[in-house]
Amino acid sequence: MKRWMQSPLMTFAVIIAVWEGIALAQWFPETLFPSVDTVVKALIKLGAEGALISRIAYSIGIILMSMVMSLLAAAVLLWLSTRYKSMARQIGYLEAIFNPLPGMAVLPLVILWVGVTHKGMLLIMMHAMVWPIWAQMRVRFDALKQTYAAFMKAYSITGLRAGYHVYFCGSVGELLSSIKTAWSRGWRALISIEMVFGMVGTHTGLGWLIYERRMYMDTAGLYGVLLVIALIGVAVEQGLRTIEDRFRS
Amino acid sequence: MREEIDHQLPLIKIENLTKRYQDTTILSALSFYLAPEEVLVIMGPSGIGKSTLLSILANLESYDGGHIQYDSRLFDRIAVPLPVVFQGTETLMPWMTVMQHLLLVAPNLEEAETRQILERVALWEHRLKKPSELSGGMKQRLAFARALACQSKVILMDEPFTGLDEALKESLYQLLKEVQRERGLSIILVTHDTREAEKLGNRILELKSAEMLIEKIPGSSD
Repeated sequence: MKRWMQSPLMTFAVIIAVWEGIALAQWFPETLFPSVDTVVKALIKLGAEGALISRIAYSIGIILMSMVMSLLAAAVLLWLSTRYKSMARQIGYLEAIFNPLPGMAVLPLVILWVGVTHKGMLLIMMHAMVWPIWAQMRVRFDALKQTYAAFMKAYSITGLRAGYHVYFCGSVGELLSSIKTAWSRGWRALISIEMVFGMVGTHTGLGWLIYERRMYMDTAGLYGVLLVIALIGVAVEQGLRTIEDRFRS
Repeated sequence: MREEIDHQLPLIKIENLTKRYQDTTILSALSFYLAPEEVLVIMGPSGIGKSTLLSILANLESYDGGHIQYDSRLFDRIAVPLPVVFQGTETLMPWMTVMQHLLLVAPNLEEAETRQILERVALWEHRLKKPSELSGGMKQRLAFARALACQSKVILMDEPFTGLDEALKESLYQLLKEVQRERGLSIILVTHDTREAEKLGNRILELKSAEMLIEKIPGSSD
């Protein structure tokens, strides 16, 4: 199959063509199902007003901050679980408890503890991102330990040398893959949280913009924001996949 | 003709070595020595405890009784106690180049020495390649080069040629013998392959059971 046929842009092109076909057929009222050019015009208008760019910047900023904090937290958890067997078990239990819980499920607790604040948003984001990173990296670290423990002992490879050359360099592929999973979980959680937080007065990123467009009955703008969210998700996914492929080759 | 080995000043002297796993005695009161510049082969069937013995010598496992005396000459220049060439090539790291493998075990290795070792095992031209780009023989040579990089006078080898075809084994035997002579290395090689033992060993110790270690003369049919 040709390379361009596998591109995500092809998927978008097909969706847009089908969308436009349905819109032109006028099976639904235009307010509910606007044509592609109406959506694009609404998007341009949002961009010109400055709302779109600032909301994108806010959402991306929050997710990047959460990603850095989650990576640091996962690194500490990994160090503890590699260093102490009993900690590995305890953190494993925590992962089993928290990993299946969606961010929205812990939202009421977070609101109770820290209120509807940026801190609360970061906490929920970290909850969504840290566990997939830890779980995937833990499996890799265990495999590396099993394969190289005797070798490292025989050649006195310990401390930072073992940490960097064996554990870190040996798990870059898995790290990228876990970041990809964390990103998609985080992105999903962020949009939901922003909608809820926006509803109670913390007017923030793209999630809130969706909610706001719906309130103003700006359906074309709403679809436009959804399109932007999808495009950002696909762009990041593609970027990470490219880095991962380059590393693995 | 086999070389004369100085048996008066052993590099490693093992006396009454005993190892138990729970109630099972794996090794019982074994005594032997490693002389300078000799290849000592420890033979025996699978599961008899050869690799355990090697792990104890490499300080990878503890022992329950007896005494191991390492000659102080062993620790003059080396960075690690005794480098081990493990069975197979699984301990090579897929993300590292040939050169990086050497620098991992010997970070202070000088460039000239690195080049000399890699040229000796015919890997200098492949120094920037990763294990996935190397053939089976090259990988085994890299595992050996990694042990050489530690600059130890003693190298421990745990069935390093298992799984290789006969032609490849022959070329590796020759390389091993040449490098061993050139560098004056002492090697303890564990194997279950009689032919390999005969080809490489200056002395062969056959582990018959936990407590029975019989010295065989290479070339004899016993």
